[in-house]
Formats: sequence, C-alpha cells, structure tokens
Amino acid sequence: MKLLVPIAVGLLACTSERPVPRFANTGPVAVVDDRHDVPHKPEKRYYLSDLYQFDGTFHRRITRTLEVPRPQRAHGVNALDEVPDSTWFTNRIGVRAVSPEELVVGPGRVGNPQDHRPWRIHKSKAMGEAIGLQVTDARGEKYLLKFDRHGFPEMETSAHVIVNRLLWGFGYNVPEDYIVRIRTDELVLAEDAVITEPGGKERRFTLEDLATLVANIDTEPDGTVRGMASRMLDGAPIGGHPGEGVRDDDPNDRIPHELRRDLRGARPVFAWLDHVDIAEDNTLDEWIEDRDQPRHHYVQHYWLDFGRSLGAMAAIQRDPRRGLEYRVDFPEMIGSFMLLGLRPRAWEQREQSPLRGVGMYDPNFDPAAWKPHTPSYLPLRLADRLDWYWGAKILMRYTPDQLRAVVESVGMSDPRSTEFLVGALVSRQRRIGGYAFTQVNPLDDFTIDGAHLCFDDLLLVYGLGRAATTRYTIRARDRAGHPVGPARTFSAQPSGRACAGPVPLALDAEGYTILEVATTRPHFHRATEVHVARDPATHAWRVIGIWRE
Amino acid sequence: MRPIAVVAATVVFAARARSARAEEPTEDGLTAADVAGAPRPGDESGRVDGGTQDASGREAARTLLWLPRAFWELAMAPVRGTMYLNDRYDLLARYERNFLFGSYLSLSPFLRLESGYGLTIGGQVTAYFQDGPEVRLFGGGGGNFQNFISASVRWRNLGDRLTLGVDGIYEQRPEDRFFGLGNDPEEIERGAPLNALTSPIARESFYRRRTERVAVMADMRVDGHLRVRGGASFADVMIAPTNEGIGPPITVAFIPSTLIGLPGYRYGYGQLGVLWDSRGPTNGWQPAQLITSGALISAYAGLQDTDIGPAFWRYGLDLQYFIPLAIGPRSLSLRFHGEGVTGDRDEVPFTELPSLGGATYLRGYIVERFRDRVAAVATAEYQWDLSRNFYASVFGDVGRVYPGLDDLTLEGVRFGFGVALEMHSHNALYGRISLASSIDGGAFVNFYFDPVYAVQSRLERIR
Repeated sequence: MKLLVPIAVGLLACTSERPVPRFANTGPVAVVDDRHDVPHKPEKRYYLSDLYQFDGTFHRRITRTLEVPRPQRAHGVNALDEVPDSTWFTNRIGVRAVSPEELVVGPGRVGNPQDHRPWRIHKSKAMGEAIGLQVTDARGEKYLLKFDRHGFPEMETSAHVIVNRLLWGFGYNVPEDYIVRIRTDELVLAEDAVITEPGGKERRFTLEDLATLVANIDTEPDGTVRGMASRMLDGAPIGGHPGEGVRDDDPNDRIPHELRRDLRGARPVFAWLDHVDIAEDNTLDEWIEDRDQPRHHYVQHYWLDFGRSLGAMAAIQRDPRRGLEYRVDFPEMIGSFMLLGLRPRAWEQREQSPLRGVGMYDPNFDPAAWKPHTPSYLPLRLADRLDWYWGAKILMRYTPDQLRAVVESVGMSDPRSTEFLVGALVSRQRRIGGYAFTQVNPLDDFTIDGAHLCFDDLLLVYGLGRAATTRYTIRARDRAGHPVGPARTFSAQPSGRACAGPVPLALDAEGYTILEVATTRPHFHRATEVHVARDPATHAWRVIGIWRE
Repeated sequence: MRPIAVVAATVVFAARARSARAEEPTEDGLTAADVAGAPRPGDESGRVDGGTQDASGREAARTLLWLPRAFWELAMAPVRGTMYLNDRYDLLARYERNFLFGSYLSLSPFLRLESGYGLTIGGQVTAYFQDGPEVRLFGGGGGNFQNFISASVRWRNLGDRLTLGVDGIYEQRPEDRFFGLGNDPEEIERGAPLNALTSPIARESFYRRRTERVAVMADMRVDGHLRVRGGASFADVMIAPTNEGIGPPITVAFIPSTLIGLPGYRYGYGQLGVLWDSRGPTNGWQPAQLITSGALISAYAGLQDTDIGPAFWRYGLDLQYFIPLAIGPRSLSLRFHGEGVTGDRDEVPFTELPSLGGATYLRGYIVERFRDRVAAVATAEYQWDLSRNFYASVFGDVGRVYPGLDDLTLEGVRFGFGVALEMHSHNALYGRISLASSIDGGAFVNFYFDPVYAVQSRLERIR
C-alpha cells in the first residue's frame, strides 16, 4: 500500500501531454509590446540572500516537485522559435550587422568617465575584500567604481567588461561598463560622502577610510590604479527580477520568468562565459521613462555584475568547484558521501592560470556539466535542449575577430592573457555548439522559394560535423496530418546550406503544409517540422512556423 | 555570414520598429510608440492549436500531493521566517557591527550535544583591549549535562611569542556517570554494592560534581612549530550521589568507602609540556581550519597534590599524523592519545583518573565510560570532501584503560567506529556532528564546535 501511492502519483503525472502544433498563416512576430504604461512605480524587491539561496537550493525544489509541474517548452518565442525584441531582450548579433567596433562600445551612450576627472566619492560599502564606490565624474554622471581584488590584478575588471559586451551583443540589457585608470589623488571625497557598514548603518567617509581603501588596491608601476566604472542605470531601480513567476505589479510582465526563453536560453551563454554568479541580486529592473513620452513608464530588465565570470570566481574564492558544482550540491554531496570520495571529480584537474588577469577559465570544458554558483535561479535550471539550441545558435555567431576586439578592448597588460582568453572563448564557443547542435535537429534559417525548401545545418555550417555522413529526409503532410506526396531523401553539402526541391505541397488555396525534415547522422536522428503556407496577399510560399522535435 | 543574413531576412518587424531601426542603426532602444500594436507578451507564438494543457492525471497527482506540500510548507515556516527576518533587517550584520566588526567586543553562541547527556547551550563574551589582554566570559547550561561559567584573561603575543593566561571556572555537572574502574563490560543485572577499586564488574551509576578552579598558564612559541606550555591550577571539587530517580546513585551501586574523592577534595596541580604542531590545510585552497597534512607531537607531565592523599604525577602524550591522499581534499589521519597517573587507585580521586569515551577519545562509548590509571586510544580517520564547505569522515577508534603501565596489552581493547560531518567556512569550523557506535553496541550522536583533533591543555579544559 505504501508503494501504491507514489506509483499512482507517478503514473498520473506522466500521462501524455503531446502537442500538435499549428500556426497562423502570418509572418513571425519580431517585437512584442511590453511597453504599456506602468503609471505607478512597482514595489522594490529586496534581495533576501539567505532565504533566496535556501529556497532555491532546498525548500522550493521540494515544494515544486510536489506541485508536479509539467515540463514545458519555453514561452516568449515566435512561430520561428525565436525571441522577439522586448524590454528583456533585443536581437542584435546575427539579426543585424554588429561590427567589432560597435561591440567594443556595446551599451555605451554616455561614455567612459576616464576623461572627466576628478571623481567625487559619495558612498562606499565598508571595506571588505570587494571595494565599491559610488562616484560622480566631472560631468555629474554617476558611476559605480570597482577595483580588482588584491592579488588578482586585472581579473575582475577584465571579466566584467568582456562579459558585459558579449552579453550586450547577444541581446541582453546591461549597464555601461568601462575600464578606467586613475591616480588615487583624482578621487576626492564629496562633502556628503558616507560609508555603509554591515547592517546598513552609514557614517561619514573619511580620508582615513580612503587611505585604507587605496592601500588595498594594487597600484600599477605608473602610479595609477585600474578599475571598472559602471554607469548607474537610468530610471528608478526596483530590485532584481524573480526567477519564478512574474512581477504582480508590472502588467507588462506576463510570462512566468521560469518559462521565458530569453532567460532559460541564457544558460549556454553563461556557460560559455562561465558567468557563475547568477542570482536575483545580479539582475536589476528599472522603472524608466519612455524616451518619447516622459510620462509613460515601463520596466526594463538588466543583467549586472560580471566580475566573477571567466573563471574569476573559482580563482578568487580559491574553489575549483565553481562552474562544475553548485555551492551546495546535494546530488554531488550524496554521491561523494556514498562513494567515500573515491569518485574522481572533473574540477580536481583544474589549475589556476599563471597569466595575469586570467581566472580558472577552461578552454576545454563540458557544456552539459557546467553549473552556476547556485541552483537558485530557476530559469537556468529549467533550460532544456531547445533553450540550449537557441542560446548556442546566437553565441555561435560571434566571429573570432569580434571576440578578439572585445578582449583587446579591456587592455590587459600581458598579451598572452589576451591570446589565451580569445582562444578559450573560441574553444568554449565551439564546444557549446558541438553540444547544443547534437541535442536538437540543428536545421535553421528555413526559406521556401517556389517549391524549394532551403535551410542551414548549423553543425555543418560551423564545421562541427561531417557532410559526408549526413542525410536529410523530407515528408510532407497537410494541415490535418495526412501525407502529401512521397518522402524525399537527399545528401548534405559541405557548406551546411541544403536545398531540396521541389517538395510536395498541399494543393488547397492556403497550401498549409507541414514539411518534416529529418536529419540522419551516425548515432543521431531527429526531425524538425517546418510549417509553410501561401501568403494570402502575394500567394508566395513562406515559412510560418517551426516545431523542433 | 549566411545564416545571419537569412535570419535577418525572415524577421518581420512592426512597421514603426522597422523604421526606427533604419534610422538608428546604432540602437537607442525601442520606445512605446515603436512597439504599439505589436502582440503582447505571451501572444507571440503564432500558435492556433491552443497549446498544451496539463493532463488530468497531472492535476490529480497535484491534488494528491497538496497535503504533503502544505505540511512541508508549515514545517519550514519557522526556518524561512527566521531567514526572512535576518535578511530583511540585517540582524546578523547588525550583530557583527555591534559585537564583532571593527569593535572590541564579541558575543558568540555555544552549543554541544552529546548522547546520554543532552544539549548544553550557552554563550561567550570576549572583550579585546588594544595592545592589552583579551577577557572572556563563558557560560552555558544544559539540564542534565553541565552548567558552568568561566572567566579568562589572555595576554597574547607578548614579545611575539608568549601567551599568558588566568582562568577561573565554576562548573556543576548534575548527572555524571561512573561505571567503576577498569575496562570491563557493563553488567546487566543489579546486585549488592561493588568495591569500586577492585571489582571487575562495570555498573552504571550517577553522581553530581561541582568544581571551582583557578589556573594560570603560559604558552611560548620557541621556534617555528615548537611550543612550550606550562601552568598551575588550584581546585575545589565536591562529589555527591544523585537522586534515585535519575538512575542508581553512585553510593548505592558502589561501596562509598571505595569511592576515592567522595564527598570532595582540593588539589593543586602544576604542569609542563612541549608541543610540536605542523598541522594545517595542505594548501591555501582548503579551509583554514581543515587539517589535512602535518603532524603533532605533544607531551606533558604534571604533579598533582590533593588534600586526601599523596601527590602523584600525571603524564600524557598525543601523536597525530595527517596524510594527504588526493585532491579534494581527501586525507587519512592517525592519532594516538595516552594519559596516565602514577598514584594508586586508592590514592587518586576517581574523577581525576584518565577516562575514555565521548566525542573525542574512544568514540562509540558514552562519556567517561572507562576509567583507570592509564588510558590509551588510537584512531584512524579517513576524511573527504562533500563540497567546498562540507566534509565527511569515517573513523575507527581502538582503546582501553589499564591499571598501570605494566599492564599494557591489546587484549580486551574496545573498538568504536562511526561517521562524522563537518561544516567549514573558509576561515572557521562551524560545527561537527558524528554518529558513533562500538562493538558493545549503542549509538551516540555528538554535535560540537571544536575539532576532534584539538589538543587542549588539561588546565584549559572546561570538562
């Protein structure tokens, strides 16, 4: 009897929920309107770190299991399985031309405060290992100024800006972050400068505090210190976004965050960049004024704080597990306990790079094994192979030249460090592509011209697979699912672009046809449904939807 | 790049968005007017099939599990509520600000759990005087285990190598156990009172003890890992039988005249010892309090004089050796602890005889299960990591007590074994919990904040 209950629950929960997708005969949505006016500022969310981590690591994982959630594909995608532009995400690289120069500028609009000194210090946290100052430059622009940790020169500041630019190019909203070099005498105390002690108590920021702070910063031989200035975002900050559910007081926030493709699909790009420090406090929502209508407000969503990426967290925290285990990783802990620690772990072979400014950033890594610092951010935990595919598809669009431009822009003093990071980025990029493009049928960019269906096989486009062993089979069905014409099989081309035609198409006026394109390779067979129909206005065939198996 | 161009070609922007892109290729971001008329979030999929809904089976499973979930939520509410209050109002940070951070006063809680005795909780207040001594008040209580208050003053790093200290303690232990002297198994049947000095039968009995003690000590670092420790103490000890309700009082189980030290005694004690300690983490990547390599050799001798008998010597030896086995860290530790007195059984108060059992020496047995003139225990412990902050170990302790050094033998040794979990921050040991048993059965859970490898001078021991 005791066994019957869990068995019954399991069986009930596993009943079939297989979808039969059909698409409207329209063009795919490229932008959504999540900029309706939010007249009242949403309530600020406080980041409750211990509770957040406890829930995300332990409590919520149990209650969520008891809620028997249905595994769901990501929402927030259009008929082509792409993410439209929104206040969360803007299609950039690959959708429009992004030059290396534009990538280096990234989100920059106001510009680097480097040439607008001196800087007035207004606020600081009490001196811990991480030093952060709120300053205004000579123009009055506000920045958060951070420095590299003592003993880890150039590491956090470089990671911060490199990852900032690459996430911006990927499509996310990020602050304007800049590498700066200043002499410490160019930092002056504002009259109202305060220092915040643990517990939130503020006291006056004194010259002695400044001297203590400066003493903890590595100084360059020319007497300057290197820092990272992050411009304070426009608008009113209302805290980070929750990893689950929506903001109830934001009417534009309609898709539960754990289901958003643009959040779940961040996993591959974060894995690429080893951006392990993912929690609600490293996101920020801003209640902003519309550029054209000052009384019109809405919420814009940002990612922040990338200083512990590119292996910096593992190096600084002296913990090679970072990126491969959660901080509290129950399955790993139980496994290690049961096996008396005799099982070798992947992180045991990691070593700190001797290169200046380089963290524990492994060029050869297993994308599937990558983990953020904690499991608390639910969208990353729910990321499925389709989310991986979406993210990998975008990050693969970065060319080595673009990556080099971004890495070189942070001005690392040792050219070997720059070379290493460029090489590691390219290596990890290809590993992610190699992983994600074998989890899903990696056919993309479908077009239909007349009765000729063309597409890219991304595994071949990026040289990650062999055309000689790849074959495609196309089967056509009408809207009701009835076969239309015979199946057609053809070979792949080394370029990765393949065209088949003429393909059988439904003969009715709309011509709604489902073309199932199956890819066969050694140890791989998956299909993608391409839904095509005639444009009612022009009667030309067009792709109206994609459904990946 | 071909795929990029194709994607771009397939994307259809809303009219206003398209024009905005064309005019502002460097991207200033969309405005509300740009996106007006576009689908709302959630309406962009283009699907006309209605999507997928939860199957009725899933709904049923959810209903079935509603009650367990509610129960779990309720059970976790106090924990989560405490965390919420701490996070929301920075309680720990305020505590640190007021007591630790940049100030000269610290307050820290104390907790110890030992099977058979229960929980002892308390707190410690330490005042640090700049270039002066460190003053500590330490107190705790735990029902049937231990109630104590102590005060100490330490002058640390005098001349960069000398520490001087003065301690005072008042301790009540209302339910200590006495099993008689020797290494014998416990009897099941109760009978006539036993001769505690000569009877080979062990019998559980209970007594109360009150100790008042003052001590002075000095610890000097000679060179590198080598230190010399010395000190002296004076104590007043009261011993009395417990009430019948707790268990057999000591005076019922044993003939009172054979219980040396009853009803109390005073003693003076002077001790000198050397300690060579190179233990520590294997590298800077491991928590600072995690011992995975190095060795310890500690030896001491002291003269104890009581007001109820002749003076006797007390001596002891601790050897520890840690062998790092692999990255992780994983390590094997070997440990020996020996302690003895020169006085005869009928000269030394039974409470002053070396003992085995409890959380430190011969785990798997209750505290002070075995007493005699000589005690020896050896430990092998394999420790490995579960995560950055959690470490596990399995251990085996073998040991026994002896009437004298001439009686040393492996025959009749007791064997305790168990498993332990430790939690570390990078700089501190948060706590250790162990579950131990022995060839004689029983299960003992111990929770405490001190590492089992600490070698505390007898003068500093709270118990």
